[in-house]
Amino acid sequence: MKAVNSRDLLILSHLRRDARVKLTKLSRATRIPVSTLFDKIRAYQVNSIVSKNASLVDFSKLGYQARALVMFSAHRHDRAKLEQVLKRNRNVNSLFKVNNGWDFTAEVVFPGIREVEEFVEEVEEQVRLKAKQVFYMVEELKREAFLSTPGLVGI
Amino acid sequence: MKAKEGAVLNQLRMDCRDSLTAIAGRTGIPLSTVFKKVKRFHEQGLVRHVCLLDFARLGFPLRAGVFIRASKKSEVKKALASLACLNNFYQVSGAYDFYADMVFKDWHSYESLLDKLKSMEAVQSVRAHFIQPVRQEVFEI
Repeated sequence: MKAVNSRDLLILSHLRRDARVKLTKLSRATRIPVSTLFDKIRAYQVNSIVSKNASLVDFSKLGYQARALVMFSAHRHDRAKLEQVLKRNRNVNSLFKVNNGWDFTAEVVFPGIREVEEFVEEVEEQVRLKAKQVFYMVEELKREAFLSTPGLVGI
Repeated sequence: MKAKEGAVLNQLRMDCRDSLTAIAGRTGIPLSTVFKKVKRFHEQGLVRHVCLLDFARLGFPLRAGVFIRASKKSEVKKALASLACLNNFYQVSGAYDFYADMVFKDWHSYESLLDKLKSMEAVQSVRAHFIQPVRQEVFEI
């Protein structure tokens, strides 16, 4: 895989701002031919630079009023099981491995706080946890903002 | 939300660069209906289409989740919101007031930012973890 250059970062920043942008519009904005853009966007996916093109949803508008970050720490032998339990749960929207005394952070989406509490209890019933901590999201201030401003790709 | 709207939304969640024709084919919903629904999602401010990146492959190998407790929330909110390294930023409840997911090109940038945060008068405490995505944006409506 070739190293990415400033031109790639420019294309990616436009896709970060609107992943459904038409190639013709992107070509006008970047002054890169459509055929080149087509090849490059395909290569980003083949090389796993782009992991996914996803529509981010305002969950509260769909009736999911409780979003939370739940941190889990399990005993060493139970970590793989914890990961499986979290991956299987349909309300885990995103899952991250973390360090510093913790194993995973799960970003969860539920209709209400009661369901979040039940989710944590369910995980506890299946895996021996060392610790858990819940942070309810009160307000979303930025989401997927890094490299989303074409003018700032030189950072 | 109606089943058809959920089906279209879930297709967009899986791959938002898919054409409307492909979405119509996969869901069995007429193309004109898919077009109207996607248009309505935009009008309602319900969706934003982004490509999720593997930042490490772009030369930003460090990604940190930083919890911040603030004495002056508005000051911290304003200071963090303008940072170029910021990816996700939430106000949270509990032991901390904010959670910031940030991306760095090297250890020095990470440490400088943490030092800067800790030196702010409005910041009471900071807890940072390195984070590595396992899966992202998989919740089905």
